[in-house]
Amino acid sequence: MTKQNTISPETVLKISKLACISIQKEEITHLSKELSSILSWIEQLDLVPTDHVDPFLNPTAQNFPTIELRPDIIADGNIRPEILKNAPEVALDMFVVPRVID
Amino acid sequence: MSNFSSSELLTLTGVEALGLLKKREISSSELLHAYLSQIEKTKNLNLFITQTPEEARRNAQESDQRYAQGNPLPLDGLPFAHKDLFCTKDILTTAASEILSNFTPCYDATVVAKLKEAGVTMVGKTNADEFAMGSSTLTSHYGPSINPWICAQDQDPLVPGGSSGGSTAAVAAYAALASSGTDTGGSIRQPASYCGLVGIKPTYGRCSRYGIIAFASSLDQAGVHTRTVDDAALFLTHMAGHDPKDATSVKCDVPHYPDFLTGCLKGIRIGIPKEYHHAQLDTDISHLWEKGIEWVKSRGAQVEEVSLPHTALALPTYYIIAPAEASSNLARYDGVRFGVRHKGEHEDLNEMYEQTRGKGFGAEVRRRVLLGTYVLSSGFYDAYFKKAQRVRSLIAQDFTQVFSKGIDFLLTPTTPTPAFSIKTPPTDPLAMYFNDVFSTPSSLAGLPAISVPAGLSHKNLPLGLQLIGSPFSEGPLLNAAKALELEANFTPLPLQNVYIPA
Repeated sequence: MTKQNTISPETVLKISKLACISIQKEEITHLSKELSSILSWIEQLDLVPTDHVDPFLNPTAQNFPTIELRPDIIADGNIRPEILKNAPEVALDMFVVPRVID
Repeated sequence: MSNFSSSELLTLTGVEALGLLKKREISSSELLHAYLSQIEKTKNLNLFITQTPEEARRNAQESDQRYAQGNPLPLDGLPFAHKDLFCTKDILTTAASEILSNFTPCYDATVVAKLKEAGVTMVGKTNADEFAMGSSTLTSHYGPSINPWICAQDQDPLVPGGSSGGSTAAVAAYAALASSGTDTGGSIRQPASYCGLVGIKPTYGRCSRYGIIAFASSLDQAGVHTRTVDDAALFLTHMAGHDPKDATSVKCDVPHYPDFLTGCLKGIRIGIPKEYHHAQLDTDISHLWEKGIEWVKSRGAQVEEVSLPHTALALPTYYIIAPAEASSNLARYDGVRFGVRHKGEHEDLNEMYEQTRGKGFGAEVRRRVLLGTYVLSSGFYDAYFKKAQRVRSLIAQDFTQVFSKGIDFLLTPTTPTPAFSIKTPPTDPLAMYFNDVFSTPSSLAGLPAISVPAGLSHKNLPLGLQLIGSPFSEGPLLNAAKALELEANFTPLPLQNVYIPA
């Protein structure tokens, strides 16, 4: 896919679906303009040759290539009520969500 | 009770307060009492999302017992505020967002736990831009905080900067002795500069990110705001360190930073990056920068011009990487496991997600998540995200090259302008993003940087200078900041001049 200089109203709708963010009809034109303006500003990066440059992941990974991992051991446990207390809807110690399958 | 008046107590630095507490000339409880009264007095500045006076009183009593028993902790009894991005066990943690307006974590962030272990008394959780996305606190769901500094002539209320604006305004208004912040592209340094404070963002990996609500994980870093460099060194010593719970935190000893603060810069080479001479740089700030150069020279430093050729690319690079990482990090707010779920009938799970996120996020957060989703979407990933990561390498290499030539620090302005009006902020997102023009390059490179209050604008508003160091050079960096502080002789906002709107 080639890059486009603008984010059309259709694309705004598509990415709002991908991002799972509802947007109002009257916002679409404004968002399309605003995001397009940010995007065209960002595109100045295209002028920089980077064919032989490695991507930068994060500063620790750059300076310390072997990130140390800890063993996967349960350090707390038995905190189900504490976890569930923040859930909007709970039943039988489980998170409840709207219907997924008809 | 001691012979100290509440205004004398509030204007003590952390170092001074600890000295008096140790000598038992003041108590933790009376110090806290002075701060809680000031929090009440300054409530119209909208500094806190949550106040915790009861826990604070209990902690201060425990602290007084430790002093009485002769075994105080290193920061025992110092009143401290946490940005509401740090998870606090059993205390509301909102990230200044509606979507987390009912979230009480069941654990403390590592930085919170470390400061607790060092004895600080938490007075509350401060306001910020929503999910730390902003430079003004105007994106907070809880309304903006107001800068306690004001221009005497026009009496126009100002933003405190952001995203850690509640934290900096609280310290400037004497509602906390010091406060935590997080910095992704300048969110500690810019508000510190707007509020006349010291603000240090240490090296990426220096402080644990565990329990900090994530915005952009390859950039986020915790730090501290204080009224003096000595206090910054003191608090940072007890915040930093490796944490097995954050794989990007680095195993590297934490020195006792106050030991570095001699104020002498003999043998130090300071670079002035020519690309930071920006056309839109405020004249007052430009003059202050020139003064800063003379100040570090007078402390023994050798100053030379250097070049960081990819500087201008930092902001556009940041505005690909940060929204991309944010769109991924914020995917967890779905109204299922925590946070606010949109009320009403939902046809299916997807509709519930869309409504919850559409209503629960504010305009700036939605804009950035949409932008991030776009640059990561199928077919555009290489063209935008990977491209930005490659340019990020070039930006980081600019710094590496300068430091490899023997330059110890870079001296730059912190922001291009002083604090702006809360009533007439920039309406164009790009104009707002420009606030971080001098802070994003070092963020992208993961370098430690500090803002030091160094002077006043012609409207008597505070201005900051920034020093940037090589990875893990916080000790010497704080010393360079100390040298600037000594020369600038900046006076923090006098207590009686704290602006409190009616």
